[in-house]
Amino acid sequence: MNAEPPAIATTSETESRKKTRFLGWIFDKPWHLERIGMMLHRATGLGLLLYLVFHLVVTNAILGGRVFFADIMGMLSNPAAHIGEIVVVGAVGFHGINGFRLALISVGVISGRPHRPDYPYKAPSLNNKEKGALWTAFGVAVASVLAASFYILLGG
Amino acid sequence: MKVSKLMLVNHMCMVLIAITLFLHLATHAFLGVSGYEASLEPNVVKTHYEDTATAFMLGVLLVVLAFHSIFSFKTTLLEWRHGKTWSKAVKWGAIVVAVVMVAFGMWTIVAAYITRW
Repeated sequence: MNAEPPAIATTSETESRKKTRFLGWIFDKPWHLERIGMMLHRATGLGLLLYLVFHLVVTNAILGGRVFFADIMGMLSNPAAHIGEIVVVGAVGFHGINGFRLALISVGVISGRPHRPDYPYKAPSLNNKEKGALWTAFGVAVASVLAASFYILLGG
Repeated sequence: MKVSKLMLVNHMCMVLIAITLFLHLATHAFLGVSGYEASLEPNVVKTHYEDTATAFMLGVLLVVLAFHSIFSFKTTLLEWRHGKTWSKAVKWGAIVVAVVMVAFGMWTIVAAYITRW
């Protein structure tokens, strides 16, 4: 009996896998709650890193004198920039609380006890404590956006 | 679970970021200022930099933020690709970027603290 030859990945398949791996943290499925939390954590982290660089450059304008700094602040005082600042505060709220959730999981505080993997294979790490912490992160993000809107758009 | 020393430092940075970032945001919302717009007035911003406690707080925030952000970004890059050369390049690239960020930020804080308008 002739055996089937082993499947060899073609060049296009290999390229496709490389592309999937590059942005796999976004496009690979399944998209369950923890996965969405992970995607948002990474996206907010990258966004906040870019904002940090921008913020360091903008605040350096204080060394250019009173008029120069006022000009720069005037340029950034528009609705689009204000919305951007509110998004940044929301991202900080989510990233901060979700970061503490991940730290608590990594040191084993809310990760649950390991057990034999029986059907339907529920991971002990994905328990109610962990889920509650993730929902808290979403809640804090919303609260941060509301607080930032109050101070930035309504002037406190 | 055992975590590396760098990860423990990262966890400590997270705690310091939570404290100092809250204070930093508070100084632009309600702590010693009448509102957000007023906190961005050049004289108010300069007064913040000239205050020793605030300048120190900003310095701490800068260092811990630079460590946390670059260390985490390094972890993401190492997760994406593997290999000895890549690991070495990412490690030294992360160190250089973190040092540049801290040096640039510290220049702003120290120069604004020293100079008087």
